[in-house]
Amino acid sequence: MDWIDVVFILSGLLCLGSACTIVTRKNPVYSVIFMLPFFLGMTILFILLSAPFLAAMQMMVYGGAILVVFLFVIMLINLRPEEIKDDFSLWTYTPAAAVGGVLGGLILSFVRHGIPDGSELDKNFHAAVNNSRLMLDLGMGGVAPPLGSIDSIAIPMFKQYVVPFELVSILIVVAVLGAVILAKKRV
Amino acid sequence: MNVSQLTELLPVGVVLISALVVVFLDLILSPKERYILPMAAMAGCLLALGVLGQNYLSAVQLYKSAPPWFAGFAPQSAGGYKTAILGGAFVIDGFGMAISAVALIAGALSVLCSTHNDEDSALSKGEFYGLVLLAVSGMMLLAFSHDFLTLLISLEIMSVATYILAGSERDDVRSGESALKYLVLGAFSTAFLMLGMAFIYGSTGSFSLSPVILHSSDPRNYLVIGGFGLLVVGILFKVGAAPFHFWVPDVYQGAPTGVTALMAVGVKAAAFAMVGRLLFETFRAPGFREHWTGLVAAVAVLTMAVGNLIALRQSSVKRLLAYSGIAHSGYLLLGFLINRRADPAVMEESLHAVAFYLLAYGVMTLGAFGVVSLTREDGRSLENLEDYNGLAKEHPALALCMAVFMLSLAGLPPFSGFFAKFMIFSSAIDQGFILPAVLGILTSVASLYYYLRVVLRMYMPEADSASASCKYAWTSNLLVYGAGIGSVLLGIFPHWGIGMH
Repeated sequence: MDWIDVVFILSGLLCLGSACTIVTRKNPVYSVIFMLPFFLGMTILFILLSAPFLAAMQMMVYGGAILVVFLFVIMLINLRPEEIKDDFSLWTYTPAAAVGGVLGGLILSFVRHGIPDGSELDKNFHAAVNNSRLMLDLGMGGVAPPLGSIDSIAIPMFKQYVVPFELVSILIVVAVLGAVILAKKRV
Repeated sequence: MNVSQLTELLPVGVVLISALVVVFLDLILSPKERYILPMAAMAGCLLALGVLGQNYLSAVQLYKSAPPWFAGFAPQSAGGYKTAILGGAFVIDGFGMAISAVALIAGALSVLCSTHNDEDSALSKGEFYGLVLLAVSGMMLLAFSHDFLTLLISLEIMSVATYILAGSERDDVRSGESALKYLVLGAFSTAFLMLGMAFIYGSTGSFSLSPVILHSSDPRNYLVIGGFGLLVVGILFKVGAAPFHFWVPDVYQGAPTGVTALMAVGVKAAAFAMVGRLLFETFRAPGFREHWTGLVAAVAVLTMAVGNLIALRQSSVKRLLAYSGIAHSGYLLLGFLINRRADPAVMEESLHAVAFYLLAYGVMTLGAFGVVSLTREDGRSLENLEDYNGLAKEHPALALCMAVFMLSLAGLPPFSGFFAKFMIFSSAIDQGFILPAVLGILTSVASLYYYLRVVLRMYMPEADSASASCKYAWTSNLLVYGAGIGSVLLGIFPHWGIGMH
């Protein structure tokens, strides 16, 4: 067994274990706290898949920002564990488990056997990947960065898709002005 | 990518810059001088309209062989005017210019419509006018966008700005209700739209809106068809067409009147730009066209029926105008019906009719909302039909304008609404969609009932009118009289709005 396999199994177990803990905790604050090891495990998995950008984003956006937002909301509404009703009923959990099971089974089968009748999808996906690699080749003067690296995300973003990227800044201005209109205290 | 192509988008730039100018102007003005803000915002819109007209005229000179007004489908070698800029992210053509012009007019007039507020209300702040301008810039970008990414982002610029504007009257519970409903349902519809785009991208590997991306794919490809279905759901929601119209009355009623006018005209025009681009361009290939013509005809008939029938029973003028807006979406959808031959020249004519309809509908709807915003008591808009009893006695000019808007919305001959409806119905009949067109004519006859009800109430000999003018009323008066004159002129000289024919 390679050391990579060991790391993979350990981080996978960390993810699974913390995910189960998140679902089963009664106190929502504990649930949110256990999201941290979950995100850590995901980050390690992304690094193992040689996707350092996704790994960094996973830690910064989810572990940093979203987790804190969750905590803020839970503390703002001040939810106590004893106030949460625990009315376990088969009627609510059986359909949820069935849907979850079917979706999980589908994903597992896709992972093992590929998407049925997805030949066109596969072909198009590879064409798109090749196309973007070609563009990168042109941009980088011959050497395309490996898929999943920071370069392969940054170069299309600032060359091919720079117009939509710049348009997002208008959207952010709208959001800032909206926050001022909706939430500013009267003077 | 050529930076000099950006001059084609200069009108959008003018709107964006004036949005920032208005926001920062608020900081240096004292509260008493705030009346300058709406003027500055409107000047920005008019300046952008001028730049747009200049761009259009230079395009006319460049392509002398054929009038480029809507020549989006003719190839450039045949004199068609259609320039893809910024790597295909945007396309500049007559249709996009016409929609942006409607959006700019809607922006300028809805600013006029929302000036008379208390000095400490959020509606008289620079941020409010800035957001109106940003929403207009989103509409214009949407009208020009030719790529799923820019389409989505411009749609969100427009939508997020209008969600916020709908809730900007913070003291009014109904304004908050309107904003929340619009936000939740709008986000839901955007999710449909994005999922549809993801399906199409997954199947074609391209974000472009040009029909080329579908050439290699089979019309029975379930991913493309599924994606198209999801796109249609998202767009019909924005348009306010029948099975997805339930948000319209509540949102229109609760939002501040000026914002309602912007939503009823600008957002609708931009959404119809999306309909035009997707149906007439991306999905106009023969295999796909059969899928959507029946669907559009059914939705159009349902929308006209639902909008007009429910409007018959409304007691609030704002809700009445909301349902009338739904019905007009149905009429507009009739303009997208084309037969199997799909002659590019015919499609040009249809887009022509749609753009003229949007202009005429926009002018009269803005005017009607202007009257609603003028008739107010204790700082609140009077919106019940009873409040309009005997309006003609105290404000004869105002009542006359309102009567013009109502008759024009109903589609009576001397006004612009008649020519708009005439062009739409005759294009549907030319294309062989007789039943939808006849149903459209019948429902518009039924609509006379509720439009005339407003007119009758105003001219009833009852002196118990409660409409009081307010501080900055002259701006709204300007809007109402301008729109009234516009409706009459567009009805008598329709070729001014149609272009060079």
